[in-house]
Amino acid sequence: MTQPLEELQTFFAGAIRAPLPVEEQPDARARVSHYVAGNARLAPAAQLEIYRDQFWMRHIDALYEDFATVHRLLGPDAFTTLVERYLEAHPPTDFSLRDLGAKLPAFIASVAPYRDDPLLADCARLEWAFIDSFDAEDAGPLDPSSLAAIPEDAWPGVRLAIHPSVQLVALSYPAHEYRAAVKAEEEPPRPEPAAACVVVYRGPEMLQYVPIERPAFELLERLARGETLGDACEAVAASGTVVAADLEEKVGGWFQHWTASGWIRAILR
Amino acid sequence: MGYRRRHSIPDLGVGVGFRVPHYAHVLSTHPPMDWFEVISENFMGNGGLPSANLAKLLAGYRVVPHGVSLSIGGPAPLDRDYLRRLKALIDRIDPPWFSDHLCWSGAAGVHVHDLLPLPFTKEAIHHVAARARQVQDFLERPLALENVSSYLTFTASTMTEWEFLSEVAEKSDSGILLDCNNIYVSSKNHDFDGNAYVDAVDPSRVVQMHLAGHTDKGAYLLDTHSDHVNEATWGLYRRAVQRCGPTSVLIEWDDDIPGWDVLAAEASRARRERDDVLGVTHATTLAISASAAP
Repeated sequence: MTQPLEELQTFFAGAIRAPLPVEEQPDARARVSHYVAGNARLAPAAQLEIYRDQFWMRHIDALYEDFATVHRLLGPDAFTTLVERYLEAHPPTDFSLRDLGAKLPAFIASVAPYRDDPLLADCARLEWAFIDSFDAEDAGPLDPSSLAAIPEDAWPGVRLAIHPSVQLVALSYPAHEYRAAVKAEEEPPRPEPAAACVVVYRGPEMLQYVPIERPAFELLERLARGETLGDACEAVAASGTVVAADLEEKVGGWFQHWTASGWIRAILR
Repeated sequence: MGYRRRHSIPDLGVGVGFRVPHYAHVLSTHPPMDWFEVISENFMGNGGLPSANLAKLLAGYRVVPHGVSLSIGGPAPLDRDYLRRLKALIDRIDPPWFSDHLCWSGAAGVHVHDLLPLPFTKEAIHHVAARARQVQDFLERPLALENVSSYLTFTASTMTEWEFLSEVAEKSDSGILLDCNNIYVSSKNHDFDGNAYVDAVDPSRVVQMHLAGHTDKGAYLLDTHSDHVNEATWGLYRRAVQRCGPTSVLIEWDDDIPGWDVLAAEASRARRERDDVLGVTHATTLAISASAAP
């Protein structure tokens, strides 16, 4: 029986990534025995169904692993529905499962009913930040001698190169605390709204996260976008989240914290 | 000259897959193990903890990358970005060979992240062989293609799986990663004799073997890598060692992963089985040599 290979593969891949069982897909049900032989124990549709089961199990498991907090909030059935809807909108196209959930935070933030719950979106963005931090490019630590080499009057013009593993996540709920409790296999209650600014980064041995004060977060965001230290400080002072007179003193302390944590990898002049 | 000799493929002995639950134990205590296999795609990023863990592993052990996403039988053009990243990993590890599966993993722009079976046809042989040659040319390293477990057969197939595997290997001039568990699983799912499979494969092309466990789902066996190697698979392994001689072998355990001691004990059994078979072979060889001496 002659069947162009690509025709068979297109049929097969389409049938196994459909949310409905093969027997309930009219087209697949009609065509499956043209391609699949079956045996005494399993009809052709039942054989193809094994692969469809595996497709969904594999992708639901992968997203569960990356988004355990979202899973916890939704529960298993609603999480499965979310994955089905997400993969219908964004079929997996990359060879790696690593990027499978890359568009899930934006999907949750924009599609009903998920978009109606800001905690879900917060959790999804935070969990994806951990994924991005985990295997971000390596970069050496800041050379301390580069600090001493900068004249005082040159500081406003410097730019900072932020370590690639540093992820900045502004939250409207304390999703970082909720995630930590879920990871610890506790059964945390749904948290109340409380804004937080969290930095996720890679420490020497493991991923770490720390909430920081809002003006420091705003400054770090601007510096990460490539603004000069002077411009970024001016913008933060103008935003009103910190008293301008206090800013200079605070920046010194923040800078020490950031360098000690390995968030800054170079000073660019 | 056979494939293995032509490419100077060594026998690395008995190894296991490098998996997350064992990272800390392996990297801090350096338990005895001949070699490790890493899943290529897990170490193809730019840095971070995966890269650091690989560096530590390479400092103490021989390592071979084993891919799951090459999709050598897929309809889409070969993924150049994937191949470039795989080449960087291979250059870093410098293994005697690398491996992936005789399968396909997606169509129409979608990657399904599975090892899907091919129809055993001349068309598929030509398709796969041409792509396998391209891959080897680009990566400049011997490629071993692994037989996969399957849960269906195609009406289009015109030959046995072992005829298909052999012809792909021959036409693409590739090595074979002979997975004894996959032979067993497919033999039960498709009612063929696993011994006939082992007997039909060109031993000079077998550069590596795999052993693993599976799950009995009633109407079929599922390749889950979640259990001990079963006795029938050990039997196929012994038969394969008898035919192929000393060949690198690796225990795969990817789900319900046990403690290191259980995994190491499974590797020890592979060594005993292998030594037992090779011991018989060596004795026979000596006896033949002795009787042939003038």
